[in-house]
Amino acid sequence: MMSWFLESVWLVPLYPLVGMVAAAFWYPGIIRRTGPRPAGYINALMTFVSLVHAALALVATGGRESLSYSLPWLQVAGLDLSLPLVVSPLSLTAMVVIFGVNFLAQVYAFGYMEMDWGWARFFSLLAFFEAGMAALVLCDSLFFSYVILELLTLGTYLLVGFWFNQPLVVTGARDAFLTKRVGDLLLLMGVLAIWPLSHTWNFTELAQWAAQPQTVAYAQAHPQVLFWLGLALLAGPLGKCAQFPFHLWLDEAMEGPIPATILRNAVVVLTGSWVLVKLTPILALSPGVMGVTVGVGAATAVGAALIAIAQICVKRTLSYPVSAYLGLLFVAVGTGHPQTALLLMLTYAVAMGLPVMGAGNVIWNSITQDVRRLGGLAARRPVTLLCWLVGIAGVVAVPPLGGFWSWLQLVTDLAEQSPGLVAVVLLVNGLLTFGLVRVVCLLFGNRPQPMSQRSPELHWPFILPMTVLAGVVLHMPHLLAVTGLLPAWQQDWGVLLSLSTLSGASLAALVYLSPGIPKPVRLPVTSLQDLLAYDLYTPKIYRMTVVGLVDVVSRITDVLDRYLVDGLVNLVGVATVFGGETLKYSTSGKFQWYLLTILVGMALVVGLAVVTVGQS
Amino acid sequence: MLSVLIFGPLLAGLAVFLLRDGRQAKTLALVLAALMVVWTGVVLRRFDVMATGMQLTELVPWLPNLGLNYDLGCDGLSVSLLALNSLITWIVVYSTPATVARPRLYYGLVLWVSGGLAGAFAAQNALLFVLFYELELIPVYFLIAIWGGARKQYAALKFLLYTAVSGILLLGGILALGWLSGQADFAYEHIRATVAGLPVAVQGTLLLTLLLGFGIKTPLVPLHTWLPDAYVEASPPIAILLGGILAKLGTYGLVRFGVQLFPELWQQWSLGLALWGTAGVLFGALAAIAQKDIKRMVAYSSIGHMGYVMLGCATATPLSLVGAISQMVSHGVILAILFHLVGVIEAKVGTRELDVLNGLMNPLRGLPTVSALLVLGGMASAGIPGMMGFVAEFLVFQGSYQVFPLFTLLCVLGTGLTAVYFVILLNRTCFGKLDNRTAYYPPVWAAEKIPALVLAGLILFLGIQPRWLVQWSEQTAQNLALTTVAVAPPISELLPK
Amino acid sequence: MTATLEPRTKLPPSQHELAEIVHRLEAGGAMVPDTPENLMQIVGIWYAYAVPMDFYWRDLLYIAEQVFLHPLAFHKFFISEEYLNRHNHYAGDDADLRIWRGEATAHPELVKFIRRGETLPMPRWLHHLWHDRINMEFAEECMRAMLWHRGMGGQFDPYLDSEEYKQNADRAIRAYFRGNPIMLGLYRLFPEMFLEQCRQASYYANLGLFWEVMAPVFFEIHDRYLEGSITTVKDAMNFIVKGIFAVAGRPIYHHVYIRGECYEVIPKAKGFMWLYEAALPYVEAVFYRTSPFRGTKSYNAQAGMVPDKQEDFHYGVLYADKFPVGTAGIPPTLLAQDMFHFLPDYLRDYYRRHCRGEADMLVQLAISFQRSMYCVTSAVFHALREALLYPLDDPNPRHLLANRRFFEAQLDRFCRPEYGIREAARIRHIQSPDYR
Repeated sequence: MMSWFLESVWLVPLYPLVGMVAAAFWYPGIIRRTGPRPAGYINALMTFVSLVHAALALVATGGRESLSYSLPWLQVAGLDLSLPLVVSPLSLTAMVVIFGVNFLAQVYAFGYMEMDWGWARFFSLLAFFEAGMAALVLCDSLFFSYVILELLTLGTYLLVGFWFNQPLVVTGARDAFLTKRVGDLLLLMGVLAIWPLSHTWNFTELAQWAAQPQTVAYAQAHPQVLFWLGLALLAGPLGKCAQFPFHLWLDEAMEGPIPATILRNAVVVLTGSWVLVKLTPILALSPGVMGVTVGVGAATAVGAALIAIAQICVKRTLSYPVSAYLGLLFVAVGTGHPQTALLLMLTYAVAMGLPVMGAGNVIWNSITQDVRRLGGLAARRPVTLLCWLVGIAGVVAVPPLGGFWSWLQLVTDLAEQSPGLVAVVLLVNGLLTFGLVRVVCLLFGNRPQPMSQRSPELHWPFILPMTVLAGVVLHMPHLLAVTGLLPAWQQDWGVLLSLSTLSGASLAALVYLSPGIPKPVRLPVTSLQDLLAYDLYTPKIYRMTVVGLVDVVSRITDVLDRYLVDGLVNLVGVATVFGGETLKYSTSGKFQWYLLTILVGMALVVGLAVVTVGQS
Repeated sequence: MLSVLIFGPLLAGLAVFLLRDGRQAKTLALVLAALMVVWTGVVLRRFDVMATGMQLTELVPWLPNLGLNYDLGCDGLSVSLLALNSLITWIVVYSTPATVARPRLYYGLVLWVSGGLAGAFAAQNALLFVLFYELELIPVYFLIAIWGGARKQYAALKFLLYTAVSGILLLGGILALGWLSGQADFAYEHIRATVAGLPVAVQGTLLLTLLLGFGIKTPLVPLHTWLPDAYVEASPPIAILLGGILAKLGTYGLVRFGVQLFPELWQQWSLGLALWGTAGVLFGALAAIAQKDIKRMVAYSSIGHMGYVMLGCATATPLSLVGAISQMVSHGVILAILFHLVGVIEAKVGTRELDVLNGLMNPLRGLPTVSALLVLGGMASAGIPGMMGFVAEFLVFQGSYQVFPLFTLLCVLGTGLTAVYFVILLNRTCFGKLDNRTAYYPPVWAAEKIPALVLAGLILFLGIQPRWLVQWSEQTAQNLALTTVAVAPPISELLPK
Repeated sequence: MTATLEPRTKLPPSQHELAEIVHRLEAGGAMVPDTPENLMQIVGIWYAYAVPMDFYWRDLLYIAEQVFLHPLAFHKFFISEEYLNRHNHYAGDDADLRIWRGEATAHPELVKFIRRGETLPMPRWLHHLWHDRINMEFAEECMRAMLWHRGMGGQFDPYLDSEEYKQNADRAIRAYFRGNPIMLGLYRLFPEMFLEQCRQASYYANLGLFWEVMAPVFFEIHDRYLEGSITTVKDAMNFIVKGIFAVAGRPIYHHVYIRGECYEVIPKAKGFMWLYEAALPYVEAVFYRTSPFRGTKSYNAQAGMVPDKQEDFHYGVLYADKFPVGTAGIPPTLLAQDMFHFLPDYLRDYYRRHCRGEADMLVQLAISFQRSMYCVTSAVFHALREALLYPLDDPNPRHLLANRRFFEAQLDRFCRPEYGIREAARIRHIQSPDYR
């Protein structure tokens, strides 16, 4: 019986699709006389079914070998594209996390979207994401991973564009789509480019291929090839994980509804790092690429953590830490520790949803998202506060919670290779803590502002998922222990990490709670604060570089087309032009001209006939 | 067998024209078009995807001393385009508003074009091809000139002149071909057999002539300037006819006459040809980004997409040819849905201006279904997986990369640019807010949605189950292929035992 | 009263940009042009509004008095029979003041809808799951708007922070959670959290008591319109003005019933008056302010679309863009859907004849609703003028000037440039019948 759940696990990605299709009945204009909520209930149910199925399958694996199937998709002209699926404890764990977070997010949406009429569209898009992510963790092929990432990019466009009447949503959806698409297409280039070398897109086989001596030899002989190949492959994850310079879309995606944000910040962004981990053996073939991975990761980690501190919009203060944290994943992979990256992903995915849920609770009935206009909520909203704190503690290194152990693992790994990176990690931990605690202090500490004077705690669809998730976060260490993922305790690193967290937290509390310091806090260097507040002016940079370039070139092309080409080609037959001008008015004229051509043709035919006849 | 696809429409066109009551014209045309679709189904059933060479051949001597015989047959290339032709014809007839002026003439001409196209695709005799090619010219000219938009006269004339030139080039080229090869007739295989013998310079001249002829038709940059005017000025159904299927005469010719008749030369020129295609991709996409008129934007998009076909043909590996042929079909379908939707939007909102359109996704006052389908069509055209556009483009890329890595990557870049202008289009038209003073648009009737729904279903089905898109042309591609990239040995053999 | 008053302006024409409307108000009219078509829309939509409102006020009081602080209030929309049959104080034979001549219990159409909805007779929880029900969520949103927006005058809101209130609330809360150590423990830990919940419950009561009055008013107007005793927009408006004065003194209170025992969180004895503690704050909070629709405004703090001060909020029915109704992120859609069930036939036919008929009826009725609320707002203007200023036919021009200043000051709220308030205000749209 249990084994059935394991063997039929490929069904799991299909459940959400069922819900997605069912939701279509509640699109406006189809079911008109009653409301759209059933669409949400059905999808939540489907998610729950998937969750149970995946969980039972996970139980059933108990130490068994990972199964793998292969579903034929397209065989043409020597190209065989089959979809390889691999069912391993890892992929099943990932699925459980995905569906668990998703289920909670959907229940949360029952409350957060209770006055929204777009349930059908919203929940079917969530289902689309679920299905895509579940398929991604199951599939063992670079090509199909690309396909799924591309589909999720489209999903992001539609999900961010959910509130399409809202101007910033429109631009946000556009930018999210295009930024991710750039990453995806670079990935596609990589997909195309690796084929002639490896003759396979199957991750398992790619790993074997990368391990072969001849491959290694080839890599040493042609470092350039492997470098550019690696960069192309790296671009996909960079875009999905909102790393520099592809980080802006996440900020703009914050225009979407909170439940979608929970999902995105907690799990969707991880699709990129999942593929990254799978690509590790190939990236490892080129030290240059590994260097870039580490460099970008570290830069993003530090940069985004700093930017987060300067944000005044509560959703932004929670979106930049995402980029920062994922930067550490890149560092882990770039230094050759995919396992650590996976551990980081696990603890992160479970915990990161909580602060977002907390923020949702506050902005839902305190309206403003401006941290400067909120405050003094601690006494009236303790549940939100506590869950939020648990979430933060679960993300940054706070012993004994889950996050701490993955950070510890990361630091111990890096310690052997480069102490410099250890310093970066400690710094990022401190900065992240500072940034996250800052928000909590501003919202829950100090005196109530006008907009936070009446702020009751919310009803069950908000509170239940949040508390449940908090419970899971608190039990993370136990779960790690029973699954044997708990890293060994490292005296000195553990202490150092705790210290960095402590200093970050206490510093934030000092700055943002002490009445001595005027609020809003201004840095002595205003330009620096603005630089961070406006996200290093990335929008401007985009506009001056890529966007500007495309714009200018397209205009030039248009001008060329209108005048030069058109003119030239018309010049080719001046007769044409003149003909055109003169004939325009005499309809019969056209025929003369046309008949002329036909006559010429026929004459040729006849002449030919004569010739041929004469020859014979 | 195939003659039905040619003479069915031709005769029906005549019948429609001679009808006494114009109101029955559409009914009759629709029935006939539907019958043709059914018959195409029969043809496809008869068609053996495993067989090599021509199938369902018919041969009737006509003017033997001219070397002109009624010689039909079809391989994967022809049969794919014949199917596309029947489908598009049905869409065109169906999506024509019932209020169209002078219906008998209109539907008669449409059916004639359809028949002419079927003839051109099925012809196995070069001269016969040219005759059909010319046959379709005049009706299309009228279709633009009579039922077109504001500048229809100019557009129609431009179209006529360009196509006439291409016609002459083809006629001249083919006659010369037959003449020089001293063959008794113009059957493809006979010509093919002898072309190799000609001096390279002569071959070159001939190929160039034909390339120009078909390049105008396809169109390939810089021979495309008739296209934007023609597509934009033509009424939506005619635009579908032009872009969906008529342009395929050009790409068909590239394969049939270029790849098939001039293998060696084609291979020598392939670098330049690939460059030509790539230039088209980038040029079309960039020009489209700058457009302010959504119909014009879609028109330029089709220039770009023809570039992928050119790249695939230039590479001429089995895979890239399958991709190129699939791209002809998928482009036809996707362009049809886009033009149809743009037409509906123009009819309801009364404008095509990007800067005026807004908020059509509004479920009660907007055009929600049309917007949803527009998203699907745009994304399909931008090569998002799960839809037929991706399959075709990916096969082209995968087939071409090993021969022309740089051009292939540039074309991948092209799909990125395609995404750019389609996102611009979707954001401006579908997203945003309706204006409280102006946005009282009439609703879209179910009948107006049906063509788009049919095409959308096809796009998704062939995207998820691409076997049905590629199987027809696989054998043909194997035969036509000039360069066969070593098919990958299974990794297991590479692994140390 | 102002009902029979021939307009004779002793004053020079107003220079206000909405001068036409100023003059109409001075003539005792409404901001909505007085046409039969407008009257039909307004009265019809008021009826369609009053039926769900009859559920709103009952459920709001049910939540305030019975559900109170239940931590998992899954059942708060499943109103008890007792509250369905609860007698409205302004209808029926035992009314304090009989405004509507109909029955005091729940309106028959409402009862019918609760029983079989739009689908078929089912247990209520099934109707609930099928979303075949009255959308209380938006009524609650109005309550939250009144709770969240402060400084709108009145003593009710300040009272919620007084020691006296805290003690009353404390008694009620302890009684409510008696025998529940967990909740009592939490209460000891976080007293403020429970107190804030209690404040919210008090606003549930406040809004419930407000709407208990409005429902019969609208029903009566509709009946009189059908009888033919109300023939102009002006009549309808004046009936509301009369109603306002008739019930102005109605006490606003908050009682909680725990195990049959009544706890007076806000005793009637406090003498909070309906007009000043419920009606005016409601108009300010719901007609003018509320909060931006997430579907049309960005909450991004850096974008600065949401005003910094609550008094600059302008997202109420008088400003709302009704075209996106039915789309995602537009809360009033819920109200529109509730009214959609109860449209009188003549109005339904009217909508069928315009725009897309059945297909975009939600938008059409939302726009009629917007018109009607401009009419209600006009009634409030006149009520305030009666209360604070001078009669319209006052012989003294200085008094008339004072009246004009008042009207112009009110209309200025629709002409402010900040945050695009001027563009948002729909007062210019509703002057034309083509805005539908």
